[in-house]
Amino acid sequence: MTDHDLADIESVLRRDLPDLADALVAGATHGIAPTERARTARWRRLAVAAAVMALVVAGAIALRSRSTVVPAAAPASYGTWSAIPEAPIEPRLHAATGWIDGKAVFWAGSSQNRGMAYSDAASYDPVAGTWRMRPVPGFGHPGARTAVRDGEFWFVAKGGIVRYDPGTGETTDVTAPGDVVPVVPVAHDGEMWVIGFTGWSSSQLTITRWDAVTEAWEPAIALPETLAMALSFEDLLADADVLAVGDRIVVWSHDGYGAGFDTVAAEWSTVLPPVHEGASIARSVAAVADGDLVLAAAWAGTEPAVDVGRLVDGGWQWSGLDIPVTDPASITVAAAGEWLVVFSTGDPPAVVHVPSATWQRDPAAPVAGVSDPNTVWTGAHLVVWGGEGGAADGAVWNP
Amino acid sequence: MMGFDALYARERDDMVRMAALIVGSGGRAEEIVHDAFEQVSRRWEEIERPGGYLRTSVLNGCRAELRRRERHRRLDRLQPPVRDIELPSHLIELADALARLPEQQRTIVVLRYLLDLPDAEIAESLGVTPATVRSTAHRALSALRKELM
Repeated sequence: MTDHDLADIESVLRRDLPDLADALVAGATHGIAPTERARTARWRRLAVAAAVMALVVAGAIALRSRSTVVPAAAPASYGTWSAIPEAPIEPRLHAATGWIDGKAVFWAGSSQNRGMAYSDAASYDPVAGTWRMRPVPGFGHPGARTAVRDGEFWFVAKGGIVRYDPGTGETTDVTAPGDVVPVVPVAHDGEMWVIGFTGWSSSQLTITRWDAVTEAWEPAIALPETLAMALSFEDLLADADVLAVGDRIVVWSHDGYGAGFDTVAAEWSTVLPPVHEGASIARSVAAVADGDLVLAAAWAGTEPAVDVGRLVDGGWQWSGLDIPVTDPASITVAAAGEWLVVFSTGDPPAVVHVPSATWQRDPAAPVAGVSDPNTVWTGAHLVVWGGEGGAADGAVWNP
Repeated sequence: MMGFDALYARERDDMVRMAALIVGSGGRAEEIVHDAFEQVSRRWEEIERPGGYLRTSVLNGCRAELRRRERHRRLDRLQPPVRDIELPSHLIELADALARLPEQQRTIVVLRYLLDLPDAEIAESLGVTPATVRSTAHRALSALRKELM
């Protein structure tokens, strides 16, 4: 249907919506139901109270008055950055990454202009400080999403699934689930799950678990349409965050919507969208740090900045960090145990200690200015390489 | 910058009408808008653009109300809303067609055709891209046209 065809319905809406709105409001104001009258009286009382309160509290409430985390003590140190040698493969965006056999493995990904897909792989040994090429599986895709289970990458692209062992170079085709168009694999508690859509032209999320015994996919469970109404996961194909936290697998859209699948109860639920005082959130990215779902939310304005929120009992607790950033739309994060590292174009990485809600930047960090780098948390080191503006060498952050 | 009273006088009725169309109830709309003004008053000194903040707060309140209603509906604790005022038939059809739209489509239709907001401003209020606003509006208009024309 063309825009021209829709002009008639637009005219109807412009003509009738105000009348319908007035009728609904009039129905409330003059409604017969006692509850409606009680609400109106309550409204008047509270409106007066709100006006008085505005005068009393104006200027007295700082930004940090919002629900805040009870902080732990600040750490003695925010870690150290050191450069690592040049990798034997080209720096890139969105490489598949994994901590496999004591090595940080980087595979596939796309070129800086996102036009070319790489298929080669290399690994970095943070103890020896050396790179090594890995056997090449012979394929890649710029839009692929990957996860690691049992030392193997599960590679999902264009509705197909392939497993790749970077130790041997062997690949194994996996039959795609019949009731899911697979988009993102996610490893959770030793098992592999795949999130995708219910059909090729559908935007309804659905999830299925790989049964490693029968080597088959279980029947998928779709996000109920009643929950899907307010959510837009159109960017799932591009870069929505998919994370395992506790018993849940969470899908987080950078537009600020989230849904979680409870792997025990086999139920979907929504994640409360973040709201930040005084400014609309330009971008929010999720990670799992200190055992919780953690969100870095950036807002635009005259002083663009990032705050870090933590999902506790279904609500976001904000840290009030206000980390200044040059380009709020460019933020990405890497979780490292109880730490969160925030990357953004033009800024040194910001190291956030989640339990104490404190942060620091080292302007001399070797990857300063790089956004969206490929990262691997080894449990002791965060290996950072490639990304937007990243060079062939990278860096290691040691907490 | 305008004061709280001026903001209240300028925005209150529009916000109630907007919320009424989204949640389908004038009474709930008044409560949602009241709560949003309370939030604005508490944070008045911190807010750069009170009008935008107010609108986002009202939309969040509408979203929470629809979720709450859905939860109650699923638990059979709440009967379907009863229309307690007489509406002309064409407005009943419009109200029913709006109610059948997904929440985001309905919200965008209301922001576009009741408040006449530009797509960029709608996108900012909802935290989505202008392209998403345009595509969602197109889907909503197609659905409404099918039902009403």
